[in-house]
Amino acid sequence: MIHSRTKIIALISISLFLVSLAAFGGVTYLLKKHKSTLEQERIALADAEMQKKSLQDLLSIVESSGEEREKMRGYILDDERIIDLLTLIGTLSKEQGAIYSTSNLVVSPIDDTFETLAFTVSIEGSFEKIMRVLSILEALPQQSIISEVLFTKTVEKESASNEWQGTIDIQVTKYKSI
Amino acid sequence: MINLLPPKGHTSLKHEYVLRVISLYGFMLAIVFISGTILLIPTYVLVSSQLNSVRPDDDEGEATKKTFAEASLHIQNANTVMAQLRSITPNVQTSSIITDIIRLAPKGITFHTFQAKREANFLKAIDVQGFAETRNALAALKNAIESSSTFLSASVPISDLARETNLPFVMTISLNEAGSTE
Repeated sequence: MIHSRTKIIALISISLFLVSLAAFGGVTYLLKKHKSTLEQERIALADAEMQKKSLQDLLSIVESSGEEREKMRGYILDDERIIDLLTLIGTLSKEQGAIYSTSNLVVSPIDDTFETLAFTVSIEGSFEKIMRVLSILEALPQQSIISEVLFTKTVEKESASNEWQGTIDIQVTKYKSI
Repeated sequence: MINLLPPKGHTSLKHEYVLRVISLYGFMLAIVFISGTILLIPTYVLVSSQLNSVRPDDDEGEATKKTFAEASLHIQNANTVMAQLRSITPNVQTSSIITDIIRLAPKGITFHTFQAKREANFLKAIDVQGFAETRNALAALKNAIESSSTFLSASVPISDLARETNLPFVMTISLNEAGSTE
């Protein structure tokens, strides 16, 4: 027959042992988990620091290249500047003394961002004048290409007259209309 | 030593003794684990505070992501524009080709038509029409063009060479692939 006090003491002892074991195990587990998380966070932090540095480099590139990018962007025509371009061509042609008109304005897509504005410039004047107009059109401040040129003498072909008429087909790249 | 206890009492005492020893060990181990737990608490607090300090700030992360996306968009746009600008590069200016042809023309040649059409942004040939005072002048024009490094060939239909003088002609002048001008 075991004494009842001994039984109580044994019960308390075992309970205390189990509780302390659970507490110790729990704290050890949590500590291990936190340490592992801390290591991962430190690695992530180091990566983030590197990415921050890369971002700073990228931002400095973006900032330093802003002027060039804007200039480059300007080589492509946008909707607001179509009229300016046509006016410029007209003004330059008139300055050269050539009679000028524009026709056949057609817009065709290139891709998701750009499209082509094609039009025909008709000019009349001396050969030198229409050649100067052609040279000017070849040097437009926007990306453009002279797709077709047709220069024809207007009067009797054997004569010494220097009156010519020309049609110049131009394709100007523009941003797609929004 | 004389054992005055009856056998049953002896067994009972032995069980009680073992139980008390086990209880003692239980208490000792509990004290060890409790001490261990208490000692681990400062370490736990330290690690937790370190963890809190290295955890990224969500707002800052979002702002960084946004900045990165904006910067990337700028660069991407610049690349798109650059690719487009590089995609159309005329091999040669039409005006310089016409000027070259006129420069190469000998005396006795007059032109009345120039026609140049690009294929896929490349000017490969130009058609000219005109009059030659003599067949020799036309032949000289053909030779001069073919001798030029700008041009590859100049072809004239044989029918245009029938007359001796005042020959109307049509000439197709092919450009060198490089399209370089003299």
